[in-house]
Amino acid sequence: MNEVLGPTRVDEIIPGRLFRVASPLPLDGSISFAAVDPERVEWVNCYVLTSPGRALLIDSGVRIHAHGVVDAVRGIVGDSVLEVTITRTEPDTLGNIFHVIAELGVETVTIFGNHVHPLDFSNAIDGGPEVVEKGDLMVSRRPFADRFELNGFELESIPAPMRVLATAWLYSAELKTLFTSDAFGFVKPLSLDDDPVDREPLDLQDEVAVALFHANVRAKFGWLAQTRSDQMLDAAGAVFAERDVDLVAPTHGKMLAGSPVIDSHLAGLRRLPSAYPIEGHNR
Amino acid sequence: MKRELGREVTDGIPLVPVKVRELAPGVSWIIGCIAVGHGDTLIHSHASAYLLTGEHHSALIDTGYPRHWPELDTILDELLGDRGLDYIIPTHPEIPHAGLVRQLIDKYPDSVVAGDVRDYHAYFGIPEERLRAVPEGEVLDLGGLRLEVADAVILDLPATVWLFEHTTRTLFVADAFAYAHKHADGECHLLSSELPDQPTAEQIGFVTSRALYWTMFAELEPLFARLDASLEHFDPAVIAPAHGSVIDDPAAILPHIKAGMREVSRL
Repeated sequence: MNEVLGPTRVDEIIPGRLFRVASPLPLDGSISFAAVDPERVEWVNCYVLTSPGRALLIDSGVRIHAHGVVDAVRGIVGDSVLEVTITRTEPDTLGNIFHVIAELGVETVTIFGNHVHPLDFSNAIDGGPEVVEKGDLMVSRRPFADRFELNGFELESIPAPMRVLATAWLYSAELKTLFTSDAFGFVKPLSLDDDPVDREPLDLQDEVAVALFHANVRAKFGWLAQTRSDQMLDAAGAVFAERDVDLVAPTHGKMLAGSPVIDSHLAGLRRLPSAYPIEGHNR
Repeated sequence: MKRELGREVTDGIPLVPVKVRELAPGVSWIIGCIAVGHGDTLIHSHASAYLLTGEHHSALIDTGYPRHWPELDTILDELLGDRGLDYIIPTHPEIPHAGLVRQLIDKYPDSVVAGDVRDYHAYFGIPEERLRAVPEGEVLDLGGLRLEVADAVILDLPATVWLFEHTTRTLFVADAFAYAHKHADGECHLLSSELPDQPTAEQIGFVTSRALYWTMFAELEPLFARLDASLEHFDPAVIAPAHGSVIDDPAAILPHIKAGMREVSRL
């Protein structure tokens, strides 16, 4: 069962500034967004940005990890004022927002685009305590392309060029970190204790490694092989080229560190259509 | 007191009442539209659910939005009475399609979530004993209605299924065949043959660009070839999308759907 696979863990990625909250899922075929792999596990990630007296949670994980996520965020945030933002309205980003709001005293949630109220979604998913009323929550709606301050943190929202539903990538120039939601989380940890950050470029000469990478891309974006993906990948490449990105922080899997790693992933993505001809099945 | 910040605020847009229409004996269309701002106007996007009540078993295909639960709860009571719901079949684990699985599982303690059931344990906390994986090609015999799990030719998430009901020859197609309709013209419950106009490229593109973003970059002709093969195989009399009017004249509407998808293509 997923609940006993392992505890939610906290990694201090940038001392005193950026924390990753990661909860494991098995790669046993019970989830659709990563390839079956008995030698690895999946992480569902949320991120906490911190500064003295303030904190910002980006995404909230999946429901079965509710208690682990809330306890982990509480441990990071302490008495600081916490705000929350979500990169897209899907169950792996909204899953615990209701618990977080109710149990950690969040008063403001920021979303992107023209969505309906986030509690329209989270009440159903979360099944948390019925103490949060929509009127008690301040919902700040931002455009997908914007520069703004959230609880003291300067961020830029970027319309995700590689996505399923409407998604905002978030960039912190100060932390040189790009939060890529459901993209670029294609490297899965070998164990619950694995390094949270992937620092080795994808070896494009290693057919096994590339096949594993593609298996995880196809699990999430199975349709990518059916597209002329150059436009999407050019746009994704431009996001990196136009910004100083040291870290990629996805919702799933391991984080990526450094341009060589990021460039190797972009190159691996560009190989996907030729590896899987367009007549192929889309999942 | 409701507090809102930001430039794009949708609260204040009127809620659209959920409606029900019987498509055929034992097949009910539960119509949960949402109004969406589009430029200076409002348009509607369906988030439909379909209730199938056979002689022995019942199935709900998709759940609709969480905001529609109070109305859906009442509608199911009226349509099902004491017989209960056996199968909850979200076409895929996104909010408009699966956002009410928890409420349904709780309301109907003998029901199971069926179809491609990956993610539901993690996303919604559905116990594994309440999940029933039904592979493509397997038929659920509801009694008088036979519901087959089919390949989802057009999809956004990998855990997507289409369904085909053999007696009424109804094909349930999740995000495909989607198109918006007008807000004020009472069109929510109309079949495609009853609408005053054929769907426009703008109406198709509005939903396609949101729910099927990737198809804007897709090689459409191979995709359409697979779609045509699926339609030839099932020969549906009715196509039932989650985000569009029910199509009772597939041959007439299919060219418009294809044209609309070509129109929004970025290739």
